[in-house]
Amino acid sequence: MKVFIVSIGIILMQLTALVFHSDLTAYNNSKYMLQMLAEECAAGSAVNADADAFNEGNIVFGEESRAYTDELVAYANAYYPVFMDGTVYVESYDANYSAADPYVAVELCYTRDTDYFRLPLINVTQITHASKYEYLQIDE
Amino acid sequence: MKQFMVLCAILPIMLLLMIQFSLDEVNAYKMQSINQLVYAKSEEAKQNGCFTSEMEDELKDRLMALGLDEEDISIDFELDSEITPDAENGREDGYIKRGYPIHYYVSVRFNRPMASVLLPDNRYYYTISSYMASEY
Repeated sequence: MKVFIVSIGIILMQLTALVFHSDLTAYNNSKYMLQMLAEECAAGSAVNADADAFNEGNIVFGEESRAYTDELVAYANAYYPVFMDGTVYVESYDANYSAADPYVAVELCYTRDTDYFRLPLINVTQITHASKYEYLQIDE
Repeated sequence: MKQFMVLCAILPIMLLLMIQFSLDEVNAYKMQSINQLVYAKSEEAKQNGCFTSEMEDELKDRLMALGLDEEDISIDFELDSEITPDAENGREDGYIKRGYPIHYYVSVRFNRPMASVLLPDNRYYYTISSYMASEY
């Protein structure tokens, strides 16, 4: 009887460890996918600089850049299986037009209603990742 | 005899939990590696303007090196030989113009996500399907 009770205790501890481990794996996967998405939003926005202004020698991030970010975030909300339970939205979008330091900085946030962790003491419902792509001047 | 009966009751559950723990570890490593490999290959394709069949074979070799079978890996890239000129979508002959999207689709079938011999549908498809802007 004693052995049985101890075994039940060990099984409960193992179950706790297993549940936490799998939840942490899912959380890490979501973080990585969100980071990849943020980097691609920033990279795509930076590449879609205004073509006419570029021909004149200026780097301008206009509507096309912002549209790329918005479209990719909408695509991720609809088609990424990892973001199915909640929504990804653009928390901040900063496009710097200055001639000295042009960059696009995108910060994405993913929120969901259900907690990532099924165990009681930890509560995570939000992930935030940011990425920045900048054009560097090459010193001649 | 009493101890033996307790053992018979407890041992399968404990073994199952321990095996599930290791299986979770292996599958998590495979998923993480798939993420990183596909992302690295997509960065290469961004610089190149499109995916090539060499890139697809290289990705397939790397995924198989993780321990996955060839029939479990399903890759759908738009290869450079398939890209036809289409001015509206920014496609030239053999590559995609700067700023236009390159789609990629990689789906891997995990044959054993759960440590069970009784479950009939013990399969899990891990899919990465997205697009990125060409930087050619």
